[in-house]
Amino acid sequence: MEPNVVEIATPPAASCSRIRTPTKAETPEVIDVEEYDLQNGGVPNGNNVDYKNKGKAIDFDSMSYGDYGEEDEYAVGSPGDDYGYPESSPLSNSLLDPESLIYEDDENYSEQYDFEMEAEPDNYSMYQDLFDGKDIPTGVEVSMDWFPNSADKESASSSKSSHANNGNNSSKKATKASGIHSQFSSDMETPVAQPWNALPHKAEGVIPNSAYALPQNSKAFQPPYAVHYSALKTAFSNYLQPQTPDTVLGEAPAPAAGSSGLLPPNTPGFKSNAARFKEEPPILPPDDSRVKRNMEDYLGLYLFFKRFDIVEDFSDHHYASKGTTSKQHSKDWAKRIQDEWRILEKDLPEMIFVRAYESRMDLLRAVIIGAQGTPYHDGLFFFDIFFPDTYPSTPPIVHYHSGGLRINPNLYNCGKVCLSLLGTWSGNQREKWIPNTSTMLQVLVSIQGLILNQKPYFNEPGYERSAGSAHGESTSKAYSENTFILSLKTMVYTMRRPPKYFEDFAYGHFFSCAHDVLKACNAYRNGATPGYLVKGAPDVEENSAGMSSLKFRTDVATFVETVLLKEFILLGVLGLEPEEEEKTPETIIVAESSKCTRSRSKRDRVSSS
Amino acid sequence: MSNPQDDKPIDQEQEAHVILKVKSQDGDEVLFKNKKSAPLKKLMYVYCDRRGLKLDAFAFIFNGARIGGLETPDELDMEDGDVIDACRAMSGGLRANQRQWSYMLFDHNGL
Repeated sequence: MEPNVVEIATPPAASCSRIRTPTKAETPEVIDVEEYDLQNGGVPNGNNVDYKNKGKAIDFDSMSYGDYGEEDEYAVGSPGDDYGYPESSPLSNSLLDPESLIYEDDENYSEQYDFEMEAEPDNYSMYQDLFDGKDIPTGVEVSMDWFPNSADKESASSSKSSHANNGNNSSKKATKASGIHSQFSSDMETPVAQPWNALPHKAEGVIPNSAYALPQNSKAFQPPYAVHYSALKTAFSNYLQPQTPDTVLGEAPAPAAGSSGLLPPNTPGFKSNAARFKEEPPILPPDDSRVKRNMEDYLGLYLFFKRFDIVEDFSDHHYASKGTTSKQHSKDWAKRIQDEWRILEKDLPEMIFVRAYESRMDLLRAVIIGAQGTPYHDGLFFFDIFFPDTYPSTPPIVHYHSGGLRINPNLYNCGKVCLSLLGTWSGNQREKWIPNTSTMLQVLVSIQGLILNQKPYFNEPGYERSAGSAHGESTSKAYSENTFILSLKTMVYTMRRPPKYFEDFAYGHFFSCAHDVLKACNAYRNGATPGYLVKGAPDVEENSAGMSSLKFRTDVATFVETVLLKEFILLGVLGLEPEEEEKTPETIIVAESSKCTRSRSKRDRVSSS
Repeated sequence: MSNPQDDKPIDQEQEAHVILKVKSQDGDEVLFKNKKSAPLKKLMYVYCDRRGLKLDAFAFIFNGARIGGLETPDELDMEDGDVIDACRAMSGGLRANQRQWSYMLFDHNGL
């Protein structure tokens, strides 16, 4: 035990005094959870208080932001939210009008305002604790030295609004600089500006916490402060008034936080997120600038898209209704799921990307890129996975985002995945799911290699015997041609409505491979057979099976001309002309008339052939 | 990440308890002694109480999974010396949320 204790930094001396008489085995540095002397007298802070106060978080955040650098040095050891509960009811009526004014005036900053709205649950609780920790008398005005800096940041960000990435970088740097300045000013002004504060100045170890938290918050709150400085002052003075009756009332009892109490703060968060997402379309600017600006964001995020990641919102998962967030699983189940996550994080092949969910360990989402040399090349295929309670004794349940298309004998229209490994089809002992041996990685690799293969026709049970015969091969070729058409349709569906947390990946992927897809479609239109094209040698046919059918060539030409090209143009892909030499898409700026000309010439060319 | 010390013999008096280390993102580390059969919600609350913040100000992550508060050290297979990462809970827009969360994982993985 001693080497463990020696390596760790000693906690502050004040915290040791709170611990009761230690037993012989107990080390002084180790805090016993059961014997910890709670500063709230043993009454835990209620989550209900957060829930009630969330509607008024904007004003509270704006008022307390100016004091954040100064208050943060007392964050460690400061008392909890003793007065949070009684303060909420008197403020609800008086602050109603200022809120409506803020909503109306922020119309120009709607996008940034959404960030501020979504930051409510966390920032309010943090600032409320810090603010209540100080016994600031009524009427005292705290210095707000952040005001000049925010004006500079606003002008800097507005000058670089055309470049989203550069604007983000410059605003981040300015935020960090203001954070440092805030620390410095808080150190200098503390003994002079606030003589009523009896708490001693803590060690420097507290300051890094301030440096960490401040840049995140100040960016989100920057524009409203500059615009509504006088309004915030009024709200600030209103906020200080109710403190006088609180001292008379004393400490109010906080409601106990049980397991059911955890849900109310979380549920409005999800709903509000969904509501704000719906609000976006009316506010958006015209399509061209939206697409261009978004693509710069998407390409950056696409390049750094992680193969395995943990995300939060599982609302659009196919199996979201199965099980709940607070459902308890056995220890072996949770350990097995974590092992699965570890295996996926280390060993995922480069064509498979997986997302796990933070509060739902039993859900998973994967995307598989169609391999080259198959009719599914360059397509994205999404699978939602659910781990039942009896896992790993039973296989996981997999659902495919079919969009109503059956692109493979094993992938049905309803999204069912027919695979022996998943228990949805019969197989011999080795092909079935083996408990404690088969893994989720094996399922994904099997889907990639066995289902999305070169000749999917022979995946159908009973048809595999005809492989190699003339009749079987010709039927397989026809099936592959139809499969490619459906794969193109799946691409269009994915571009129009990608799943959550895969928007960046989908847009970036199709932006990158649009030229490859169009080149392949051009080759198919000239008579190549789908499933035999490789990216490196687009004109060489491995098989001598001959030309593809006339119907397939016509269908590919029609679909590309009417639907796929339009979607790629909407995505922001530039230089869509197969004859031209490929150039870097970002460097080309094509006018609208030029696009029309190219479309017209393309149409003439198609009609001539 | 967690580094369970398997080679260390378990003291008989400590058999029912486990020593857990809570590490925050600014490098601060606190040791806690918790019963193996007791839910971790109390530990989370005590940690937030020492920091003077509410319970939802931190996201406690162990082995890459967030602790909901109702798990016990036995359920999560915790041992002496296991590290729980206390990440600052962040919220924001859809895209910003992804970015922030990736940043947390970046910090978590020590990349």
